[in-house]
Amino acid sequence: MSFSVYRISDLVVEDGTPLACQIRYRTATTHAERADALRDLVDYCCGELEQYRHLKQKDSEDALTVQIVSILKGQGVDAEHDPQHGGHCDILVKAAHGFIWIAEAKLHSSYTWLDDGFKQLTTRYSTGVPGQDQGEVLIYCKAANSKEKLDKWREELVSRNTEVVVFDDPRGNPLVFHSTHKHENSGLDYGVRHKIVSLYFDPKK
Amino acid sequence: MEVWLDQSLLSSLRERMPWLLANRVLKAVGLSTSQGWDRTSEALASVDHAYAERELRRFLEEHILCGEKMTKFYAVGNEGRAALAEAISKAPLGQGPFASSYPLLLDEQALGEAGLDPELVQIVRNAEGVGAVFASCVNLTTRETISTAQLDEHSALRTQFDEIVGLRYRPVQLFAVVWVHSRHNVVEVRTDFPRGMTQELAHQLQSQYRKAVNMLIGQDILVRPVDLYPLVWSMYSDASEGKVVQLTFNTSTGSVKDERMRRTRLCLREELYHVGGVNALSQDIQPFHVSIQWHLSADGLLLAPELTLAGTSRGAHKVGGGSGEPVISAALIKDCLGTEDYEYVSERVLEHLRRLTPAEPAAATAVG
Amino acid sequence: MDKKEVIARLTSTWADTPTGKICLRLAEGLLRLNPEEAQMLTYESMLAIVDQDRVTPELEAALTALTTSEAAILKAGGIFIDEDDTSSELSDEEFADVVARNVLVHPITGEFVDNPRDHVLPFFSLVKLAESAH
Repeated sequence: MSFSVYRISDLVVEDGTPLACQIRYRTATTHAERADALRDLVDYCCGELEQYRHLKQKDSEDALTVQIVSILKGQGVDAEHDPQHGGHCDILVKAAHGFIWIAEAKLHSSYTWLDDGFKQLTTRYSTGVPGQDQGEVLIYCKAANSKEKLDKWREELVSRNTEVVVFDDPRGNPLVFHSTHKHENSGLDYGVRHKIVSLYFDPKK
Repeated sequence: MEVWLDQSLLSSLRERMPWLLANRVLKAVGLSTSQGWDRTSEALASVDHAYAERELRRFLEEHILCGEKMTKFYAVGNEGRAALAEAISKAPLGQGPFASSYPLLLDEQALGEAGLDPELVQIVRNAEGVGAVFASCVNLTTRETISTAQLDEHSALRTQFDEIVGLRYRPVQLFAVVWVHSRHNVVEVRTDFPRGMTQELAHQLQSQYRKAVNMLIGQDILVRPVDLYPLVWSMYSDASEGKVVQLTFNTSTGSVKDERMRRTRLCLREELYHVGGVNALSQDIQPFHVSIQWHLSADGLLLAPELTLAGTSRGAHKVGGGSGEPVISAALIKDCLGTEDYEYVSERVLEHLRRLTPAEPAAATAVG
Repeated sequence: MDKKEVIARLTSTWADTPTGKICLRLAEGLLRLNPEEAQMLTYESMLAIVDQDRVTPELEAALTALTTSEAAILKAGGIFIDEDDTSSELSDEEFADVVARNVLVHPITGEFVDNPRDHVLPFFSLVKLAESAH
């Protein structure tokens, strides 16, 4: 055949790998597809933190976020930590055609602290306009039983924000849930993924 | 009254139309398409859509007239065309299975029983002319690679061969149209030229219909098709004429080049590599094969018909002089949805023929 | 964005990272090209520009940056080449489907292509930048 060596299959794009997510991010034809691929890349980043959690025990909220941003940049994602964007958001990702995705990252402590993060994300940093209608709340959990903490946050989120509707992760990840509500600025639906990153480390042996 | 979508209508479209075109047609008539024919047919199995049924039938008839064709143009004067038009108008339609099912195609079993002889299935009249539509059956041969992994594990063939090629003989229903133009001194013979058909078979079919027309009218009104070879240069060198997507040519530097554009909507005439090569020579290149694509739209539908004029590298001149036979006797016109885009291409061909034909006072047989 | 703004944005985002270095080398090489000769750049074209002999994760990341970031100067696409050596350019949606799900409907037959990733040539084209770029 008359093409060069590099067909897509030559690039060894194994489904689920960061390269596969990266190429999906690159070839996304809609903002929703791009956000979906970005979330998979964020999952990869969080997985790296979880794998090396024994080394992260003394890392601050900012230090953990900087590591995520660094891995995202290493995948070619235009990501920044703490840029000025209606205030200082934790992770800002920009892409072509006006795509903006913002994450608020919080070390698990009080649910008021987490709710502050949610409100900063949804009322201060994000615009909710098309292409900017998806965000994330990342919860770094150094306490045991992160599932319990996430479930509790889910209850608190709804009781503190009655306009928010929550639902399970469509992919069945128990350490993730989603919320949606009408964004005050645009009046359009704004989707937030809530993800807990399990960093508890207390080896018995 | 509910009208369930006729599955044989979908299968007829599937048999004739490239998926890219069919997908556009299905969406244009308000049907949702799924991925590919199988899923689309399943999804539309129980759809009540009377409007879609009517429109799809119309598209099918138009595609029969104009889709995936080899066309030969014959210069015929007013008298000859009038006589032919009259003969066509009076010709009785066939009584066989092709005619009774028109415009739907017969399935493979029915084709096997129908026989191979052409049958007149429809007469079409409009402002552009009158046409006789014939249906027939041919056996097409396709080659398929069979991996040895698909064979029975005990088969000796697995150890003897790495790959086996099978020949599949398939009866295919084809349509041909003899079109008598009202405004031009031209008669067209259009025969289906689907993927997998050899040029040799296509030319045989053309010859068959030319003879049939002459027999119908009792005189040799169609003798020799117009030579389209001069149009290769004429259309290539006209920058306003669509996009050149393929060009094969000889060079004075002793090579033959076959250039094709892989990206859509880009034209070889402007492609840097092509322009650089052409400009490097003081002698013109000698193209003998050109494919040109146009981008049109009609009623919200995107149309991208493509014309191919396919000659050989021998060009127009041979040792021993010309035989008088056309160098390029046929145009291949593909990716047409119907009359709108087909007639656009046909008009462009006739326009270039007009430009190339010296004007004569009594142009009874001139093209134009 | 014009050429200067593209380089400035890439520099500020990726600075001295391994991705940044290769990204800048690639961007500078691409921006020197006549846009007409950058309509179908393959991985081999990219390797030649950055003077590498194989595709590395940093090169992939650079390609992602150059196709998706605010400083995007490339658009990704794919050409499907079938058994008969007939090629057809895929739409953005078709290419995304091949990449994400290894699914493609043959443009002529309307049937699913077996393992389309084996038959699709990925390419990149230079997008038009603002006037002061070239």
